[in-house]
Amino acid sequence: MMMKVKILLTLNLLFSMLAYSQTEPTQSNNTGTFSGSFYGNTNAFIRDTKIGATTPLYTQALSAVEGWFNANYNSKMVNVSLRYDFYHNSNLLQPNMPYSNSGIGYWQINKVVEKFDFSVGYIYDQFGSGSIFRAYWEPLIGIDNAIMGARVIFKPDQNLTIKAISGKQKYRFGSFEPIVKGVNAEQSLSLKHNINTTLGAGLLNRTLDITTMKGIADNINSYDLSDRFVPKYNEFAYQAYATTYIKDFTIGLEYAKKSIDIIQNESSSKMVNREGEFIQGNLSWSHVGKRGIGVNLQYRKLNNFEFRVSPLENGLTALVNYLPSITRQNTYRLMARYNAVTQFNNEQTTQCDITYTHNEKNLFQLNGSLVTGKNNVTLFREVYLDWLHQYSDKLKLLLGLQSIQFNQAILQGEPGAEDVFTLTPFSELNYDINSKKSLRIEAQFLSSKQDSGSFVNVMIDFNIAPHWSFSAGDMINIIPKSGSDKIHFYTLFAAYTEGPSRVALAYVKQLAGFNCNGGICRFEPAFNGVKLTLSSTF
Amino acid sequence: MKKYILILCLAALLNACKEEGPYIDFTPTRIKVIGDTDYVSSTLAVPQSHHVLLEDITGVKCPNCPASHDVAKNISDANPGRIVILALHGYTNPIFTDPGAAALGFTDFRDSTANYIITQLLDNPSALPQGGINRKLFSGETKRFIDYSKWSTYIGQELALITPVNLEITNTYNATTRELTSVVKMELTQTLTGDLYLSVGITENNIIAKQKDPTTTIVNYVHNHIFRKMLTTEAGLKINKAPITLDAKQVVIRVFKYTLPSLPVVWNASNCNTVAILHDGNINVVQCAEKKIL
Repeated sequence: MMMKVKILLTLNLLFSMLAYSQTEPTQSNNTGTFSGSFYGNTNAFIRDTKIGATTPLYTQALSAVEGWFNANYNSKMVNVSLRYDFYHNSNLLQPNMPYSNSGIGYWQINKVVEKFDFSVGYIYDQFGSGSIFRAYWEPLIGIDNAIMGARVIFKPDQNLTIKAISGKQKYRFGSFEPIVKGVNAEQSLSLKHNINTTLGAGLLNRTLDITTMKGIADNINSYDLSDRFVPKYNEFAYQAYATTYIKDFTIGLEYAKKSIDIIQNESSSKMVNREGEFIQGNLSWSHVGKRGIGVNLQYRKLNNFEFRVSPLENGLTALVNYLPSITRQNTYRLMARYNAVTQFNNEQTTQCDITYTHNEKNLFQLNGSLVTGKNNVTLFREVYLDWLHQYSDKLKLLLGLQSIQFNQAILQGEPGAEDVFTLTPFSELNYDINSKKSLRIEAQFLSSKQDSGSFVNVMIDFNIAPHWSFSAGDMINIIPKSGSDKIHFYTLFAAYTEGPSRVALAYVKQLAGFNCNGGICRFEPAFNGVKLTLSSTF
Repeated sequence: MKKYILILCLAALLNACKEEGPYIDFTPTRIKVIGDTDYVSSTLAVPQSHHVLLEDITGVKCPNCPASHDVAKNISDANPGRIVILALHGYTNPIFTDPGAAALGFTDFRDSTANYIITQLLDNPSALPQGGINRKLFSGETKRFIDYSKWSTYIGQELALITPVNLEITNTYNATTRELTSVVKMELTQTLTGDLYLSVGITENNIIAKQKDPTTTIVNYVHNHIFRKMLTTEAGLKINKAPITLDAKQVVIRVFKYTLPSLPVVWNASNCNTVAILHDGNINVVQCAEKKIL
């Protein structure tokens, strides 16, 4: 077994070095600039039946290579971008199964003509906060929902922007057949001294194609008579939003509505025909003086607001809009274990975040959030408090406590599972040994009587600027639920950085759980294996 | 002000007129009929000859449609018993399909189910005549509807295939009550993957009515294969519902009862046929059959 791993690692290393040697240097001349980036990752999957790392990735594929090469040429004449994607036995797009394909994953030609900006090819863009439309790329959780088509941006003056977009949503190396088209306008206004506002409105239309509609109609025709309905080809969503700045205050309001549309009924797994609604507001106040304070209040309500190019899809696939969780985004391993995954069709979230700077050496942060769902059932509740104390220019210590209630039955789709309650004290110490060497130690203890029990996680990072980074850690289910074994989830990591390029080698063992990026989460199976990653920009 | 007018114009472009949705069947769900049965045969049946479904998209005011009817008849005559024809009169292309005011004397053969097949299954042609052959998208074609000049070629290709399912219809008709009982037997001659759907309908021949041709209006035109009624949902009755599988030797029998209407027009039972169509999950027809009621 170890021999196989060694062979795979050797192959992976060779591949990465080969790829490294082929990256182009930056070129620039009077007519334009050439820039880009390369990212390549290889995984060696090591089967581990104790944590459930037994998918075909571990039994058949054994190793994977994935990455992309992005190149941009920008000049006064034209802007051209191109990205080549490669997935060979990759688990990025579908975490349970190997996926293999490669080709042009993105290209765009852009030209600015005075007040107009024209783009064709693949478009990444969004209307406002993205509540009715956002096309973006988040490859580490398998999202690439670019619009294949055209976009025109018109800026009649510096305060008004109008954009129109039309195309099909990308799906891997092809596209979904339904058409998406929309228009968005934003106007900035200075009302009085110290009062500025931005007003925006957007309208989006999705038209289903005949094949997709036939699939929907076939499904509906198989339902009980009382559950049948006539679906519509065209779906319209509109939004209106305003953000106003008054001295130390910022007030944001947004309202969006969807016309009657086909969505999945979470309780019956049948499609239903419903109107949708989105309301969001935030109020923030910050004051900087001898003592600094910042307060941010947020509220969001979602009602039947699932919006996909094809209602036959699910998960993170085919989503037209962008509705990340507005709860706190945690980074420490155990504190990010339970997340408030957005419930598109029925969710109310309230959050309050307070930051208080007592003096240069003491900073406090308090956060509380509550997410409720259908019939006001609690989906997620978090209380978070930390204290950052700076002992000297070289030594900083963070201490804190987090408490979570997590509705596993709904948020993780495990019917019958009891709510998970956790209490997690945590700390982080940063110490600059000298001008080149630094040390970081983080530790958390997650106490829970539910799910997989209680865990401890300790991680030590050691950096030698400007080239080397090392890290070692262990997470252990220190108080497992009865019948479970104690398992160590070791992490070992080393990286070498040379200018804009970096090579990293890591051994990672992790539980099944949520992988979140920017508030968008995907549930992924357990992982056990070795990762070799090369990234570079030019 | 001009820029706001521009925004409104752009938004207005996105608004559509009232749309027509797909066909959703709101008739009561099929209840098991006496005679419905399924079993696994002890022997593997010999495949019967492969039949081909030709759905002729036509209209009473379509001048070129008589020519397509002739092409269909010639193909049928050359392959007796192996071509099942449906003459579909839909609501699209009204210049060709709408009979107009009653005073004009054209008969209204249009039917909502026929319209569903044309618009949802056969890619909705913008001119007539056209036709679907086994509802397939053939290599080299971009749509499932095909010009009648190519029908013979594609039908020849389909006739050469071996059917994975034998399909038989047995009709019983009560002349007093006008109740038709159609027994449809499906027997798999090989194992299939995916899904299998059965559609059963009724067509009528020898209807004398007006029809336009390129030069004139034929008053006593003989209309054949007029699609009258679908006894299943348009999307078809799913066959492989547990415990029924699509393994070879599987036999499924379904019984359909229907009383031929006397109003608004009398359907002449002597001229009516029961038509059975089996299609897969991609709507491609795998076998079809036709049987006279009397």
